[in-house]
Order: sequence, then structure tokens, then C-alpha cells
Amino acid sequence: MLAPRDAIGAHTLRVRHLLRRLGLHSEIFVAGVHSDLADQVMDYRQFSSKFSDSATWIIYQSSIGSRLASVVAGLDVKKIVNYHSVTPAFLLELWDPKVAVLLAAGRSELKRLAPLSVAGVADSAYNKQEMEDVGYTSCSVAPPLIDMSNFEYAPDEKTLKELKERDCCLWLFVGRIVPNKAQHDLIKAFSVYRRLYDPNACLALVGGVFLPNYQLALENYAASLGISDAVIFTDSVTSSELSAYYKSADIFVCLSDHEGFCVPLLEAMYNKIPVVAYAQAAVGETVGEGGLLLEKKDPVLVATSVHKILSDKKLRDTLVSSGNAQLDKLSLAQNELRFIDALRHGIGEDFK
Amino acid sequence: MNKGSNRQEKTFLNDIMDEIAQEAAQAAGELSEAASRRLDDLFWQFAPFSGAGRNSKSSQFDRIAQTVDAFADIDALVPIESHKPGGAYLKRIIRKLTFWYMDYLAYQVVSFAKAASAALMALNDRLGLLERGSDGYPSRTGGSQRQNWSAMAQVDKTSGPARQWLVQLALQQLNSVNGRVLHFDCDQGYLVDALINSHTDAYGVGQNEKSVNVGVRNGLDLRCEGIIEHLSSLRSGTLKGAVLNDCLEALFLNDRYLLLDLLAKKLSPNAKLLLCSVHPDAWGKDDYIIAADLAPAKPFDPKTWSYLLEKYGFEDISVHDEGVYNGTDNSHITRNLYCITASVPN
Repeated sequence: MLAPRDAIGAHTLRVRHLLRRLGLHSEIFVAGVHSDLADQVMDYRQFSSKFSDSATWIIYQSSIGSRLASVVAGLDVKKIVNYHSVTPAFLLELWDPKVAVLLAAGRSELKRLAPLSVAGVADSAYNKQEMEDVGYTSCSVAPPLIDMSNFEYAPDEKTLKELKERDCCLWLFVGRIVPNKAQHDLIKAFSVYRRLYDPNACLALVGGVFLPNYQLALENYAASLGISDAVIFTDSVTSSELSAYYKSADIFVCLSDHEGFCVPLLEAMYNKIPVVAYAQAAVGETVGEGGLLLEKKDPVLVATSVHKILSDKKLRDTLVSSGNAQLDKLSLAQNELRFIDALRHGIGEDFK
Repeated sequence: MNKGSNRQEKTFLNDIMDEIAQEAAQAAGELSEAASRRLDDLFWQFAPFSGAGRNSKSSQFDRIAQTVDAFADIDALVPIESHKPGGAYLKRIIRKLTFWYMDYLAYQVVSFAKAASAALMALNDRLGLLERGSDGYPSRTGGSQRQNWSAMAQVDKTSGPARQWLVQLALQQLNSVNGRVLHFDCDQGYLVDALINSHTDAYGVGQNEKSVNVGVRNGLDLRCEGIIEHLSSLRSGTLKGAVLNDCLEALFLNDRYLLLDLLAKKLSPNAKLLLCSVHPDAWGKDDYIIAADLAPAKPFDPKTWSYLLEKYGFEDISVHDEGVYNGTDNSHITRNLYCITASVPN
């Protein structure tokens, strides 16, 4: 499913834009598409009739299991797999066995495509390792193509006002409400922070509900800890509402157990919010030196780290400035060059 | 940003991380490991298939069984959408023509899958019963299992005169202690009360919730926990004294070593330790028969505790016998209980 505000969707559109800028004929073929983008893409069943000559290459955007993988595997066209990570199924199977099956399918599809592909392009070194583990022999790392100017939205006034009226230190995390993003660990660390340092602090969990079971458990958990009023569940928000949360936040805390890249970390840096993150999966690479990376997510350690940052202006300023430097390293221009290099590495002589 | 300032920032952040680690270690005293675990447990009780915990073998089995069950149903109604003109109509006709056949096949496949799922569920139930029936099996991770077993083996060994003897000995040994003293198993707080009356800062931990609650209602600082679990949650060097009775025989051999290891860490320099145990000679007697039958190992001879305490770095080790006279002849002294006292070197 290609969606405009989804990181992989935005990356796919950017890849096409880049390839066209390089003078290549590039189209996006999908199995499903958001209505806003329906006129910009083609149905995958149109592929064979339009492109099947020896000069055609497919760059398959791989994440969760999709019937497109089987279609791509069956096409007699040279392939590159652009891997955006698949959440390990065990992190979700407790909550929704069916989603876990799709995730497991995504992993087996990645493996199935390995011998059929010329090369792999991974979002991060972490993802590259996963590709190599399932048999890809020629892989490169190219972070997703993200246009950071898209992070700039006028904040929604109503949300800004509501958050201001709370008059509290605001912890922020942005991402779908799913167990691999470990919002339950955030609530746990946040409750410890309120107990140890600031009983008035608030936590905003911005993101759409993906697994209702998990959302319900989080709400019950917050209620049983007596912090229901302090934890804000927003569900899906508009870009301007999201901007209001970024403009109001004091700290961005990410305790995810699995992230293939995690664009919101960059959004936080862009909005000059200091970042504290658990260095798991690809998070360490995305944060780089642009935030405080924790080797374990012990709730006291997380709470103390947040307290230290919020009470030490020099530290806060250092993290914001190193966040800016990290944004420069992962800028669209830099990542386009990395992506071109990755294609050149995979395609070789044919890529001019 | 130039390389020089980058290096400075790295050093600065490294220093900050050290400071944070130190502050977190201090703050950790405010939130014990046990409390942190309770926060986790609190969340997981809201999860689907809760109760067994996300990492336990039984919860894995539950999940597999649930997944099999979720996929046991198959749909004989084939989707008929089509992008080709007339495609959907054609598919509908084919579906209608073949439905009797598909339905026949689907019925048999679903029947098989449901039977397999039911068998898996039954197997899961049988496993659950077996696991519950083997609660006493030694487990390094099953804290609650150990606790349940231990509670079962908590036969009141120090009651009546034995209790008076222990209280007198504890008051005598701990009269110069200036700091926190732990008593396990505290029952309703008889020793804690006596120690507080002699101006010692004492608290109790026990496994009988009912008894603990009686003491709590009387204003005593008592908690309901296992001894290993409680000591694990304390910061090093927190205790100035500890009196342990009614628990040593209820511990598996490995847990006795773990207990000594924890005591050596959690007691501060100069702290006093009193270990009160049933004497092996008394183990077969009527008064102790239930405890003996339920115990995972026989009690240690005082020499064994003395030897181990020395190995774990304790000093001033001495043995005090309860010394109960059985009859009028002084030569028939029954040795039911003994208490080993020891101190932590300065």
C-alpha cells in the first residue's frame, strides 16, 4: 500500500523523482494505493505489458509480506531489493497472530528474492546485515530519501493551546501504537520519572492505532499507574497537529525494540528537541551522535537521562546542535548520492 | 562542525553518561528491582493471553495454539473482484458452479484443522496441569513457584518457648546495632516489635500474607515477599543486621548458596547476622515431620553453616543451641533449633 505520509511511500516517490531527474524512465507499480496518490502510480498488473525488455530493472520496496513479492519473483526482469526492514514477528504475535504471520511472510519473501536479485539496498547497516543473513551477496546501505522540508508545517493552533494549558514538561514519542515501538516501556519510564523528578510531567504518544489490543492494554496500564490524565493518546493526527506536538515537546524519547530507521527521530532533531533513545536495531545509526543513546532501557536510567537533559542547558544545547549535524549527514542530497552509489554498485556498467 | 569541537562534544557526552549512570544508580534505591518487575507484570496482565508472562514456555505454547486456532477457518467463498471488464461476472459464475465442490473440500480441511487445534489446546491444558503439579521443582527463574513452595513448607518451627529463646538471643546480639535490621520470617511481627521496643530500627518480611497484614494493621513495617526476592531488591550494604528463621530448610541447596551470597552483599560492614535453623537431629521428630517431608533438602548441621559463612567472608561465627530439656535427666538434651551468629568484617 503506497501512502503519502508513510516513510516508505515518501521514499518510493522520491526514488522515482530521482531516477527521472537522472533521465531514466521510472514508474511506480503498486498492489494498493492511497486515494491521494491514485493518479500517480500504476497497477502492478500493467507491468508486464509495458516493461519487460532487457533494459528494465525493478527496484522492489520490501517490508511487510505482500502478494507483490511473488509477482516480482516470477518476472523475468533484473531486480534490486530495497529493504526497509520487517519487524520480527515474535514482537507482535502475542497481540495479533495474523499480523505476525504477515511479518513472517515478509521475511520469507526477502529470503526468496535473494537468489533472484542482482543486489540489495538497505536503509541501514542493521538492515543490510539482515539481508546478508538471508543470502544477499551484494548489498549497500542508503538511508531512505527524506525531504526534511516536509517536516515544516504551521502548527495547529488549537492543539498548541491545549498543550500550553497543560503547563507541563512534555515527553513526546511519534510512531504507530505497536508493541515493537514499546510504548509500554515509555509509560513505565515516564511513571518513574514522575515519581522521581516531576509529578506534573506529561507524555504524548502520537500515532495511529494499529493493534487495538495493544492500545487498550496501554490505556489500562496508564490507568492502573494512576497517570491516565498525564498520558495523551492522539491516534492519527494531521501534519499541522503533529507539528504542534513537536513545537510543544521538551524531550523526544524512543524506547523501541525494533525500528528499521525511525524517521520521527529526525523530525525531533529538525524541531530542535533533544533526543533520548534506546540503541536497539537501527535506532543507533539514525540517532548517530545527534542524541543520547542508552544501552539499556532501565526505567530509572531513562528517567534520570531525561531529567539530566532538561535540567542542564549546556547538555540540551549540545544535543540540539549535534542533532542538526546528524540531519546534515542524512540530508536528502546526501542520501540521494548514497542511493545512486548503491544502484551503481548493484547495476554496474548498465547504470549510466 | 569541525573535528575539534566534535571531539569535545563526545568527551562532554561521555562525561554526562557517566554522571547519569551514577545518578541512576543512586535513584535506583528509590525504585527497587522488585518494584520495576512489578511495573512490568502490571502491564503484561493487560496483554491478551496474559498470566503466564510473555517469555514463558507456556505462553509461547498458548500463542502457537491461538495462531493455529485463528487460521483453522478457511473461506470457501473465493473473492471475485476483477480489473478486467466482465471479469467479476465471470468469476461469480465460476464460483457458483464450483461452490459445492469447494465447500465440500473446505469442510474437510476445516474439520481437520479444528481437530488439530483442539488437540493442541488439550495438550496445552495437560501441560499446564503437569506444570502446576510440579511446583516444587527447583527453578532459577520461577520466583513465584519457589515462593509458593516455600510458603507451603512454612511450618511454624519457631513458636512458643523457641520463639522466646530466639527473641532473647536476637535482642542480646543486636542491642548495639545502629541501623536497619531485617527479620524473616516475621510472622505477625513478634521480633520486629521486640526490636523496636529496644530502640532498634527493624522491619519484617514474611510469606504468610494474612499474618503480615495483621502486623501491618498494628503499625509495623512488614512486607509480604520471599527472602531471595527481597534481598535481591535491596541496595548493597543496606542492612545493619538480619535475623533469618523458618526459611533456611525451605530453600533448595542452590538457593542457600544464593542466600549467603546476597547476605554478604546486602549487609554492611560490622553488621550482625543470625541464622536460625532446625537441627538435623530434630528433623525426623513429630513436631517437624510435615516440614521435613515438604523440604527440598535436609537442614544443615551447624558446622556446615559455620563453614559456609566463613567461606563467604563472615567472622565471629558462633553456634547457640536452643537447649530444650527432654525430661528430668540432663543428659537427654534435645537439640531442636540452633542459631548461628556471625558478623561482617569491618
